[in-house]
Amino acid sequence: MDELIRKAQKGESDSFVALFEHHKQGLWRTALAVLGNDTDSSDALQETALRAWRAIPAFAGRSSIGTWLTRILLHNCFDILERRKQESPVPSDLIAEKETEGNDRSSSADARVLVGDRFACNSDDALDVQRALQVLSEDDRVLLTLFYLNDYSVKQIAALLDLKEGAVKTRLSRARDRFRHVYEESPSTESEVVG
Amino acid sequence: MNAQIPFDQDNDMRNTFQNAFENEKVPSQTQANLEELYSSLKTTPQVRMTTVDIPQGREGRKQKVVRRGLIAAIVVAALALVGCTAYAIDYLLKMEPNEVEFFEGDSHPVYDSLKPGVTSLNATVGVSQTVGKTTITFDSVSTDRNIINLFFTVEREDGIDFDSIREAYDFPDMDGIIVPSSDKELASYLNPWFEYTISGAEEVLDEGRTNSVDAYLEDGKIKCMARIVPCVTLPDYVEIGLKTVSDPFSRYVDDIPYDPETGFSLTEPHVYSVELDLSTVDHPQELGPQELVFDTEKGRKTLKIDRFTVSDFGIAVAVRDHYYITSVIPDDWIEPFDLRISDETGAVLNPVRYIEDINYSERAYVYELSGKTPEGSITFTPMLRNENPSAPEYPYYEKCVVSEVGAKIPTSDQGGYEVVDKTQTEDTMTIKLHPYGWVNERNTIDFNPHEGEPYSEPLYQLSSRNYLGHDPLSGDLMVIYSFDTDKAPMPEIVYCHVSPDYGVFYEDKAAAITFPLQSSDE
Repeated sequence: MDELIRKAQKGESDSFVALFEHHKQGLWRTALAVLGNDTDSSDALQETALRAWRAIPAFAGRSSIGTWLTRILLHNCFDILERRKQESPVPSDLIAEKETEGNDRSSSADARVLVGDRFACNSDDALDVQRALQVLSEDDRVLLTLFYLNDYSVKQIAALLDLKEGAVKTRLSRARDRFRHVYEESPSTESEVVG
Repeated sequence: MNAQIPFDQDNDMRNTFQNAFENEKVPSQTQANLEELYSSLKTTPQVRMTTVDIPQGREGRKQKVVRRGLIAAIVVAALALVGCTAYAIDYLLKMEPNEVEFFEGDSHPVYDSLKPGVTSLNATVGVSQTVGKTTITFDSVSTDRNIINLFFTVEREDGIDFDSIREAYDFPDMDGIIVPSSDKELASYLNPWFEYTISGAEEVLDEGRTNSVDAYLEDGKIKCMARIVPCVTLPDYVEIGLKTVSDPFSRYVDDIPYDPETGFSLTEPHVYSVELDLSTVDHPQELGPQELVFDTEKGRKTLKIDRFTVSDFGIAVAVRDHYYITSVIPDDWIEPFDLRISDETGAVLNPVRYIEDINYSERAYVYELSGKTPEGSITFTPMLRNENPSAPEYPYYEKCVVSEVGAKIPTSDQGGYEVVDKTQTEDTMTIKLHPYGWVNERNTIDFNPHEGEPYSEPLYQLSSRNYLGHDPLSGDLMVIYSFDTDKAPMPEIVYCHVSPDYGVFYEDKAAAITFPLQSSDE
């Protein structure tokens, strides 16, 4: 990995691609959790690759390359969320009821199927979680994603979001409670047996 | 999910999130878009910022300074949370004149300039800690409230086998050629890297990582020097906590488990804590916190300085709200390296580069300036960029002689480095360069020795390595070339390759701002 970083810093795009591909899945999941749809997540991922390529000569290795990429990604996600607000100032708790473009995950809950005698990849639970997440405010989504999906510490989150650690703890606790409320209240859907 | 479980112990929640996203794959259309982007990277210029030895810091938002409420023992308590014992001194150390063992050993052509200051103010610590087979002794600390120097001795239970370490360390370059590293280079890479916490007056004043400055092998042990440039001037009483980021021998020996992604050891860190009494140490000269607002030809631009401090130990600058800390670059900001900083005589104070890491604070972007100690005032002049620079397009290289006294190596139209000294043995060439003008810190010089065009002469890459050092007081760069004369004779003339930013920058003298230096009052 160090060798790939060094080569990418020297301008070898193949090395950068190998580096980015290695971290791509984790970044995709983070973008999806924060933004809630494939189109925006795709934009965020591409913008992250481009920004990271341009900035990597200055990467000094104080954090891991994965953490560095996640920071760039989050910055892009914030930009997209800000653009969303300006284009469509709908309160976030109404977004789940609003039809959106680009494979909105919150509306795909009815696509669950049983394959054989098992759920395909536990998709019921996954969809419920993602749907519940998108009902929350963007602040809650970001906090929950960073803490529970990316395993960042409270201290790291405080540094990332320019908050005091105490504020992060309070907000995380409340975000978790709100998520739990939405998640446990989500209606079950009849499943269609296939094959 | 159990509402009674605190959020940070809610493993069910964590598992729920992780399971919900573990099967999410990048869609095929997104991957196709990425592939298209990848193919365009070869023609997408990278931002030519500083080298790896200038801190990038952390992208992310600025971490606010923790205010009152924390006790001084937080360092030891925090370190204890990671399950290790902080080896602490239970009395205050005072800075006094003393010899420092590090400077009594091998010659230090680059950092000898630091000896007078360090030997005038230091305290012996003498605390050793062993983890596994690695023992690190915290020998001494030297600080003048402005900059902190730390000295360590590193040793292994069964001795340090450089040949074995060299086999693990040396890796092939882009041409697949392995060039053996020198003992000096290996010692430098084995210089331990610490996370530090500085506390005083019941609050944490600064946190970050140390800079590994210099190291050498002596009597089977490695003598090491590290440096901290805090984001604040130190008060009368401070506590410094140190914790190794990784065992220095991680990856190079078989008995240390390590994370394959980072290379960092998975063993317990070496941990230390010392309390210092600086009440008898003079305060440095300071500019004081300033918000510099430049009315430039390209609009108003701002730089927020938290600290600009001058002492015999060096010149330290701490910049607030910098890109390296916040990841945001507003249009009305100016970056520190886009300023020409000069003293009352007009002499330029240029940023200091270190070989490897540079210590960084989590709370501000901190760096050092080199040059004779200014006495009267400091002038900041914006260096603006031409809209249509006359510089050749990237990639562009110019071949410069680096082995002749008087040769100049430009980094832009405004300055660069001049070769001022050269010494030679049968297999080593040592060259000293002094900065002239404004060095343009963003521009890098490839000191890998060449004879011809870039990468066209593998001869010297087969047989040579270079070691860089940067005197933080004079700004001198020291380059030590070591040649394997069994493979090829040492060349008479060595070239390096540069890509100067000709026509890119110009001074906006009308926008310059001057501040007087002040002596701090107690």
